[in-house]
This record gives sequence, C-alpha cells and structure tokens, in this order.
Amino acid sequence: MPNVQLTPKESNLFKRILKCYEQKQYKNGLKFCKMILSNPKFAEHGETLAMKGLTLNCLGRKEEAYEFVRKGLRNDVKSHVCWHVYGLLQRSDKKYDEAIKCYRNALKLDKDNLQILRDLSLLQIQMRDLEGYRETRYQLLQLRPTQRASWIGYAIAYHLLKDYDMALKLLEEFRQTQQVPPSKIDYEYSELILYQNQVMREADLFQESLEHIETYEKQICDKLLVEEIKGEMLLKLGRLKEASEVFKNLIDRNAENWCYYEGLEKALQLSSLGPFLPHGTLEERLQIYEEISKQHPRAVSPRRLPLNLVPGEKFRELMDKFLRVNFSKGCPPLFTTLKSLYYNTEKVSVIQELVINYEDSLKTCDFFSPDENGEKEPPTTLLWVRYFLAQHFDKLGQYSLALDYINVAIASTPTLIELFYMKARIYKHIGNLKEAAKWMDEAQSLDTADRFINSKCAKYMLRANMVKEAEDMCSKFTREGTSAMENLNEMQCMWFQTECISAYQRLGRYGDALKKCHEIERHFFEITDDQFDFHTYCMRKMTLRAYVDLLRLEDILRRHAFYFKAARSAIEIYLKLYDNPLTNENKQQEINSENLSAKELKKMLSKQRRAQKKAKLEEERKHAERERQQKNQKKKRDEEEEEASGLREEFIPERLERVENPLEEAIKFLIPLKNLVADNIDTHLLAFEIYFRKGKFLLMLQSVKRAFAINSNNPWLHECLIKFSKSVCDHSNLPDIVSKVLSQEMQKIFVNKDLESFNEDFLKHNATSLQHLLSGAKMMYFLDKSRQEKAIAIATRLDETIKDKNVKIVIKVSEALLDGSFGNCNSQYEEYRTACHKLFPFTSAFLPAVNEVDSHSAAFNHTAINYDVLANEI
Amino acid sequence: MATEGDVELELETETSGPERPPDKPRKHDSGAADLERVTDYAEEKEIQSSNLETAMSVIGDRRSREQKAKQEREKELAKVTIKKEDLELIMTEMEISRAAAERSLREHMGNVVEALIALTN
Repeated sequence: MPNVQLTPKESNLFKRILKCYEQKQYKNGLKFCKMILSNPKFAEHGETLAMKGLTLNCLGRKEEAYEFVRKGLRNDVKSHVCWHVYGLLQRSDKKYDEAIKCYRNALKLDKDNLQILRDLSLLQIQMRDLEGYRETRYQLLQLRPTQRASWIGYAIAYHLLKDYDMALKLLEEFRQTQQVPPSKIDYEYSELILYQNQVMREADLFQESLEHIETYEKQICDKLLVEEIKGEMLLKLGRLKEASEVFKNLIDRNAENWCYYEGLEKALQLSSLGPFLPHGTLEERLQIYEEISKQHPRAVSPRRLPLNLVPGEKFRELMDKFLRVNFSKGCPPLFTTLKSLYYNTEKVSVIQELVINYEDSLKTCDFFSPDENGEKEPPTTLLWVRYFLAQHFDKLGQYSLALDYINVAIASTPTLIELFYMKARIYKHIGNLKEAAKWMDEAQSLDTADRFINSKCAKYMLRANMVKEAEDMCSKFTREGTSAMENLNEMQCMWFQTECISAYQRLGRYGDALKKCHEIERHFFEITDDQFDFHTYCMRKMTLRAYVDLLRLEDILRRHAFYFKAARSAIEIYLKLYDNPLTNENKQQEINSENLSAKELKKMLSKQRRAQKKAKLEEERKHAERERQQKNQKKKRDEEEEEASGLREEFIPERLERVENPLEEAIKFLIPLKNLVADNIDTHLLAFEIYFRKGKFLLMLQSVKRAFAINSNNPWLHECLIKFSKSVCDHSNLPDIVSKVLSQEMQKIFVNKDLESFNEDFLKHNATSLQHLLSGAKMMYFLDKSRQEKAIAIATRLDETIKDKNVKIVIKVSEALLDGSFGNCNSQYEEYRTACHKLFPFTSAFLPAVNEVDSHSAAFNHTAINYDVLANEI
Repeated sequence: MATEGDVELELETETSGPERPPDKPRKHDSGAADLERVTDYAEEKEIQSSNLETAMSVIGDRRSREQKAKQEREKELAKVTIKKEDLELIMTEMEISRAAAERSLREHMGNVVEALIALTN
C-alpha cells in the first residue's frame, strides 16, 4: 500500500525533510528521504517521494525531480502535500498557470493550509490576478489575524485595486497594533507610515496626508521626503505662504533641484504653471533667483533657470554672464545645459552672436571682447568656445560650419577626446556613418581604458554596419574566455543588442537580427520573473513603497524603449519574411529542374546524389575531428552549465528566419505594445501592417481608428488608410456584420470622399512637408499606375517651400525610388541622387555609386584643405 | 534504522563548500551568492493587540457587501441572451479569447455590431 501512515519515528524524519527544504539544506534533506524510503514498508511513500523530487530539483536535477514528484503524486493523490509539491515544482519551472491549478487542488484537500495559501497568493500577485489575490489574502487574514503579513498583504491588495478607503482602514488598524514608543525611531515603522501617506496622497486626501505627516514626523527616517510631502500638500491645499517657506528650505538643502524652484514659483504665485493666477511680473520672478543666487554663489540652477524666462535684452545680458563664467571655467557639458533653449529662434540667434563675438575677440586678444582689460583668459577658453560653436552649428544643421570649428579646435588641441567625439557626431548627423565611426575610433584610441568612449565607439561602428569590429571593440571590456557577443547577452547589455538588430536588419541578415530580438525579449521575461522573490521579501522587510513601485514598474516594463525597438524590428522583419519567404536550397533546385527532360533529370539527380554522398562523408570526417578536439574542453564546461541553463534553448538564426508562420510570431511581439504603448502611433501602424497581411478587416479597422485618434495627419497612417479602403472595396464577400461595422466606422474617417480625392486633399493640405508629399505620391502611384511621372515629380521636390528637407527624410525619398514604390524609375533616381549630392555633399548615400571611395575621400580632402587654411590663420 | 542521534552526526553544516548545490554560472548579479542563502523561511512576528476583533468585523461587513454587488452585476449579465455565431465571429475577427468576447457581447446586450465597434475603439 503506497498510502501508508508513517510511524512516529518516520513522521518525525519527514518533518525534518520539510525543515531542511525550507532552510535550503538539500543534501541533508535527501539523507532523511533515503532513511524513510530505505525502510521497505515505506519505499513507496508518496509524500516522501514527492519531497525527494522537490529537493532534487533544487539541486538542479530537474528530470529526476519530475519523475519522483509525479510518482509520489500517483501513489498518493489524496495528499495535499503531493499536490503542493507538484505546484512548487511547476512554479520553479515558470509554469505559473499549471502551478496555480496544483495549489487549488491542494487547497481542495486542505482548505486552511497556510503555506499553500501563501504560495498561491504569491503566484496570484505575480500573475496580477488582483481579485484572486485579495480573496486569498482575506483567507490568510482570517486564519492568522495576529500576523503582520496578513494585514499588510490584504491592505496592498486593496491599494492595488484602487480601493484606497479600505486600504487605509486596514493600514491604520494595523498601525495601531504596532506599539512603537513615539521617541523611538524604527525603520520599519517609518516605512509603514510613509506607505500609509503614499496611499493617502494617491487618494487625493491632502489634508489627511499633511496632518498625518506632521503627526508622525519625528518617527520618520527620511527627513527630506517629509519636507517634500509637506511642500506638495501645502501647495495642493492653497496654503501658499507656508508652502513657500518649505520650498525655500528645500532649496537651501539642495540648490540644484529644479522641482523645488518650480514649487517655490507656484507658492509665490509667480509661475503660470500653478493652479493660481500668476500675479508676479518678470522682474519679481528674476529677483527671487537673484536672491537665491547670492545665498548660493556656486549653484548653477538659479542662474540657468532665469534663461528660460526672459526675452530680449535682458536675456542677452544674463546669457552673456552665464556663458563667460562657464567658458572660463571650462565646462564641457555647457551646450547640453543650454540645448533646451533651442526651440526659440530668437534665443538661438542671441547665443550665436555672443559666442561668435567671443571667438573673434579671443583669437586676437585673449579677452571675451576687445575693449576689456584686466586678467587675460587662458588659452582653453577659446578651445571651449570653438567646441561650443561646433555643437551649435551641428544642432542647426549647418554641418560644414560645424566641421570647420571642430577641426580648428582639434588642430589646436589634438589630445582632447571630446573634440573627436563631437566630430564623429557631426558626421553621424550628416549621414556619413563610416566616417563617424572612424572618428569615434580616433577618440577611443586616446583613452582605451575609458569604457564610455569604448562603448560609444562600438555603437558608432554598429551604425556603420561594422558588427565584427564593434564586437572586437567591446571585447576589451568583456570577460575573457567567452565571446563578447555572448558575454554582452549574459549581461543584458541591451543598447548593444538593439544596435546589432538594426545593423543586421540593414545588412539583410534577418536570422541574426531575429536572434537578437528574441534575446531581448528573453531579458524582459527574466526581469518580470525576477520580481517573484520580492513578494515575500518586501512584505517581511516592510519596504512597501518600493514594493508597490516595483510592481508598477513591472506592469509597464515592456513600454521601455529597448523593448519597443526590438519588437519593432522583429515585426518589420517578420513582415518582410512573410512577403518574401526564404526558400530552402532544395526548393530552388526543384524550380530549376522544371525545364529539364526526364533523362537529363535522372542523370543530374544521380550525379547530385553522388556529390552529396561525398560531401556528407567529408563533412562527417571533419565533424568527428572537430568533435574530438572540442570534447575535452567542452566536457568540463558542459557539466557546469548544463544543469543550470538546461531549459534555455539556443536561438538558431537559420531556423528563425525560416519560421513557419511569421505573422503569428510578429503578433507575439505586437501584443505587449498594444497593451502598453497604445499612445505611440507606430504601434497601431505596425499592427495594421500585420493584420492587413492576415486579412483581418476589423483588426485593421481597430488599428487605423486608434492611430487616427493619435494623429490623423500622419503620413504612414495615410498610406495605411488608402490601402485599407482599397482592400475593403476589393473584397465583396465579407460577412454582413463585418461590412456593416466597416462602412459605419470608415464613414467617420473618409466622409464620403473617394480615394483619389482623399489623396489629393492630403497632398494639398501638406504641400510644404516632404514626408507627407512622399506618402501622398506613393499612394497616387499605388491607386493609378499611369500617374507615375506626376507622382515622382511630387516626391522629388526639393524647392525652397519645402520645410523638412533634412538628410533623414531625403534619404527616405531616395530609398522609395529604389524599392519599387514608384515602379521602375532608375533614371529619375539618378537625377534625384545628383541633386541631393549637391545639397548634402558629405552624405555617403548620395555619393556617385561607381567610385564611391575616391570621390568620398576627394570631398574629404577638399574640406581638409580648408581646415589647414583655417588652422594656419590662428 | 538509525536513531536520531546517529543522524545528527551524519549531518554537515550548510556552509561547507563542496556540499552546496552547483553554482549557477555567475551572471550580472554579483550578489547572487548572498541571495542564494536567503530562504523563504522566516519566523513570523506576532501582533499583540486586543482590539483585533472589532477590526476584523469591520472588514467582514465590507467584504460581504462587495461580493453582493459583484454577484448582482454577474447575474444581470448572465440574463442577456447571446447567439453562438455572434460569439464566434467576434472571437475570430478580433482574435480574442472566448471569455473576453462573451463579456463584451453581454455588456452590449447581445448587439454584435455595437460590441465590435466598442472593441475596435
């Protein structure tokens, strides 16, 4: 009988097995298992077998683990322990849904089992089954009202379900049970109070929050946060005088936090950002900053912030002061601190005038202006001025001027990394990525121990499609013994991987690109999974604010730009693979053999077979040899790694790019975007492209409707709308209900216009925007192939009225001329390329195709001469 | 069979190196070693307080009210009659689960066109 009762001695041993498991003493646990199972009476004891399996699993012996746990369960299906253990095993294998089922079965057999309820609640919060979590936490509270975790867990459930009222009630009941004397500072109690206050603020209970924080102020460890909360709450309550005092104190603590200044302006009713009408004049506002600046002479913010506010002469005066100090001091990030002012053309021209005058004057007399006297500026001042001007003109798109300045600077100081770094950036913006990588490499060579510049260099190499070189560059900092590529994957180094994706995508190496996409997807999976340990840990340590923040972060994890990039590329590639599937070599042969006679075919096939056989033998021989070589070193490594990474299957590029159902694969990457990045129009446009190919009309409708709500004038959306509408017209056999929904909803977008006039209107409304013209022209050709000439004429406009004639968009146009969007148009492409070359002489995409290298270096030499001339002038 | 005393002798303390489970290959988490030692096992701190009972009763009332409201809503939705082919159309056209399709159809009182329009919003 498998289902036997253990004798007291054995049952004691069994308890010790459990204890060993809880304390991670797995070897000892196995010893106790052996002691029970070696008794013939209990050799088939289900619960012991299950526990043995679970312990083995913790030692990395997964297959045996499943064997024992299943056997144990078979021997004793009426045991909640066996079900629980099976659940734990599934959980460790990340099969959370299965694990939940097991726990539920276990609870059927023992409905008040604390440990199972706890484990179930962990899975529920992990899977964000908040309602279920609340239920389970309720049962736990019922069973153990004297435990802290019971109360806190239940309160968190309500908080997450946004039932603040109940959450606060629970927290307050719980707080009252914590008998901490008012004089004592207890970190966990402090965290509890701050959590309570966070819930109050989320519930918009400002008065309560303020009173609460004032009552318990003394017992809170994070003094800064107390002040910040007070300031925020006083503002919300309109108690402005008190609020301004709080923010003044905060500025005294840290004069570089812009938020405090914002708070202060609101409290003094100076800023128009606040909820109260601004009463302050510009002078009053400036005065505040001046006062603070006097109190904190070394602080930057009180001198930087007024530059956002003032126009005209006053701006010139303040900017002049600001710039001089920073140039004299030698402050490399100066341009970055000012970049946010560049939306304002008036301010830009003031800056330009000031800095150009400095340069003129410094060159001749070492003063910021010729009519000064006193102490001369050090030579570095001129250097930083030129560095600034290079960045300034780069930002304005005047690349040759930018290059001039950076080259003069380099000529004077050829050892400053920043200068080469900037030169590389300018070339990047020009669209000459090879040259950019070359200069970044130069920058890198000046300090090979600097990881930042090393990484930048690798990134620039990837932009120039130099994957191998980039990997070699990174290998200077990665662990020895493994390849840089592997190591960077292990380190979840996602900037590198996303850039790799783009490089492979441009190179048409889709399998390699997809491999990287899936690796990134795996990182995100792991990050989600890593939160599991925190469900128990945070509740025990009372770090509840951080815990709730973590949960919220994990909820929107895949909003992250890295995921978006990877998903976007994956979708684009899968769409391409769907449109042009890769054929296997065999298939190609089949096609070739179609026009051969039977006899020839037979001959050819036998010849092929012989050749194949020979090749196979050769291959096998080589393979065996290689294997022998690798065996020894591999054996060691394998033994270590196999167990730990057993379930990680390798991604194989060849298999990834020949996937059976690319659209379904694309949808897997799309779903998180649809849920989390619904505010980005590209999400819906990518969705459209997938559903368009799947022929799912209502999902296409969903995509365009959502995109339309974000930006109805988006050029890509326009293309989608036309294709969508045309496709609907071409399909007359849709189900009645579908057609009804479609016509009702499309009416709202197209307003009874036919497609041609819809397209004409779009062109008319966007006559000065090249990206819109490109889309409109593409659609013109799409709708009516006879209008090719007219369409191309529209897309290739480069006249003065066009506003967005920058490198990126012009390259897009030239690509469209090549990819068949306008049919065959080689001659027009050549013309356009020549015209663009004149416009952007350094951009590699527009260089004549034949002797690219020659003309390229010629253009480069030409500018080099210019620099020499300039350099000589100094 | 060994007695308990014998067992004690055979046991080794967990800190002895070779007895530990094979380490996972070290990854980005250099603190992994410390984490490995953390167990889920912890003594629970007990609350000593007398007025737990009143608190518990407040919670109980609140909870039963919530459940009642939820049940009523479910009952109302369950009354709506829906057609099987509508349900299947929604599932295939919108690529959503049966539960989600059914919920949306019921919430729109079985009107499939309205349900679809809402789903495409």
